[in-house]
Amino acid sequence: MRITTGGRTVAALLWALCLSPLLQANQGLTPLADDEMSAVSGAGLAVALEDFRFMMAPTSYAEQVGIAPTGACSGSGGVASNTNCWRRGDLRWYGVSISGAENLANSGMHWDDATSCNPGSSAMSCPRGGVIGGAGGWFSPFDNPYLMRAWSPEGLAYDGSAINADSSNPDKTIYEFLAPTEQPDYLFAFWGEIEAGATRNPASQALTAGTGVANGGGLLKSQTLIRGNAAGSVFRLFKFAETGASPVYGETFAMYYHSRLQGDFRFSVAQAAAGGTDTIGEAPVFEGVEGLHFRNVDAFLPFGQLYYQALVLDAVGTTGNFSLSLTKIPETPAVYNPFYSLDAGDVRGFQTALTAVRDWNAGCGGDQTCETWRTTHGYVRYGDWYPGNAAYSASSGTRNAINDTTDGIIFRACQGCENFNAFARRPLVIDKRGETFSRQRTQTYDCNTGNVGGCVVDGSGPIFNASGGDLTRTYPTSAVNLGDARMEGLLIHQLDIVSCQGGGGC
Amino acid sequence: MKYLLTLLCIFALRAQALEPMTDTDLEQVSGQEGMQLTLRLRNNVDELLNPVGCSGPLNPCRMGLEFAGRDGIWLMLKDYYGYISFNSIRLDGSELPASYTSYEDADRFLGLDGSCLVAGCDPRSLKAVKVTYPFSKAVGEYDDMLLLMNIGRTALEFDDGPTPGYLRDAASGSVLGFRMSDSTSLNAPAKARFDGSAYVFGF
Repeated sequence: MRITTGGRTVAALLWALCLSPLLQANQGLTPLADDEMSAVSGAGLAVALEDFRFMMAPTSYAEQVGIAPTGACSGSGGVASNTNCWRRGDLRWYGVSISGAENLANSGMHWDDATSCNPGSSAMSCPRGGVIGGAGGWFSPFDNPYLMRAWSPEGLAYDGSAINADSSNPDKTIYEFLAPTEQPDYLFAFWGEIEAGATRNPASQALTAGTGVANGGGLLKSQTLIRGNAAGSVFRLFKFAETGASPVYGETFAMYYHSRLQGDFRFSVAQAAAGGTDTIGEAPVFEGVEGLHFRNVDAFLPFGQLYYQALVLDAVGTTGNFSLSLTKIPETPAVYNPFYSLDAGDVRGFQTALTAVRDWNAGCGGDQTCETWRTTHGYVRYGDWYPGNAAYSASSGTRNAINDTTDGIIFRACQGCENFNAFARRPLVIDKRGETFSRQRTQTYDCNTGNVGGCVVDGSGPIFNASGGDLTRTYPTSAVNLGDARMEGLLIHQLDIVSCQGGGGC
Repeated sequence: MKYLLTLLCIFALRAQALEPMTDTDLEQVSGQEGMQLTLRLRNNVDELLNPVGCSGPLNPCRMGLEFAGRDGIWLMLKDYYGYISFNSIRLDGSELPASYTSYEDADRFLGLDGSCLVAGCDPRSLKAVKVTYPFSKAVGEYDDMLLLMNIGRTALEFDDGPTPGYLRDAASGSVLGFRMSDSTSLNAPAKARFDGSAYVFGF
């Protein structure tokens, strides 16, 4: 890769470097001898982080600045100039932080840096905690650290030929970043602004100028909290392995990312009575429980496979637009057979998927096809329900209660706020004569009519299994649990993210 | 692009008063017993962090990336300027703990051939470089890293005869701009802090 920078005489570099005896501070220094350093071969670099925490100031942000679309809205309210049109959208992420998730009262802080809270509370009501793992704890343990290393693993080229088959004489080297295989849970949090209709030039005007609110648009503040960890994630850099006279992608700079996330997620917008603010750029204190919660999430998403599928940059046309593409799987059996990793005798994948879901929590027992399936197929699991547990039975089990706030997918109102009316109308079995006929099975809330409550909640779960009857009933509640969900066997054949408007449309 | 490089050395307890060092003083410094480092980089901004000449077509505030296999095609970051400052990083020689944590995984230290890259795949008590930011740790203090970045437009530019793509502005648009700053004022840098210690060791 070549990099060039332009600029007149403005760039300046100022180093203030102190190589000093550090006077009173030098009592803890440990000299490194030359012979100790010479033992390092350069095969890799490990980074261990102790008592670690990273926090941006609550007013500091990263921003994506949009452009006004063709025919942008110009009015406000129910007028023609505010109908069937779009506005410029700007996104800002403030105060990005990685901090401890220990369940210690008042060890954390809200976005105002003044209101204390408990970062381990079950409601995820606290955005920032202390150091990760508590005092003396590790974000990345020294005996399971973040690793950066260059090496030459085996793999498949785009045409299906073997790469690095001879480990003593490798033909390709990759550079990789590895997260620890195990690490403590931590809080990853930020608050944000979605602004519609801004007109400011961010390079020459402060955030208080040309606001969307002043131009008929709006401003929404939100908060995102993730409590968990990304242990087992892998990021790799390598040269894409496609040769030939007319390559689709060619030998170019390639990346792959295998994302693993486990933990809880909360997205909220309600602000606390004390500490709330609608002023642009000011950090509010968010209310403690409101929002959309995902509890006990476990996700694996593979973006790329070594050498034959990767994230690459490509031109779209010749007018300046470009794409970030996850390259398509070639129509080459030597590549797509291991990519699909079907069980012996299975030609459609259905039986392989059934087996994989059934055995999701068991080892592969040395079956290489099974191992490969688990690196090419992703999953997203919300909640702790799993195939084979008692709750899978329709007649018994411990499915989430109708208003359980500890597991699965949950909507919650703010504390002290009015209830909202939850509604469900989910067909389980369809009677082609219509949903009120006897064979139909539709899940609804088994409550009294008129939003007055009186819901029947039994051990079978939050949803009443009805055949006919009143399908309009709602459930007045401050929290509703939508249940658990699993997506298994996610396979990405090709993905193109295109940036248009660089030089005209795409 | 012109760079101004200034090396200043200051004593830790007298940081407020810059004093020149003599050659003799510098000769006493080996770096072996640790060092403290402050790094500041300004790119296309003046000392008040205002951009200089970074608007309009084909302005010189630009960075181009050309990837292998994409010869003559430049990913251009236009209206590009910024500032970064790392304040008072301290580097020190150190030793890893003598006892395992509950997260220990010896396989992390295996090489391609299955051999251990550190003796016995055991990193206990290994020598390491310890990196810390020891200052500005009160609640609400964010002074370990300052960062201002502006990328007004992003688009591809193509080589045109003898004119390289990075000297062209044929694609004048962009779908998005990117900026890192602070809401307190225009061009105020974003502020961040790092708590704790990083132990860096190789094999």
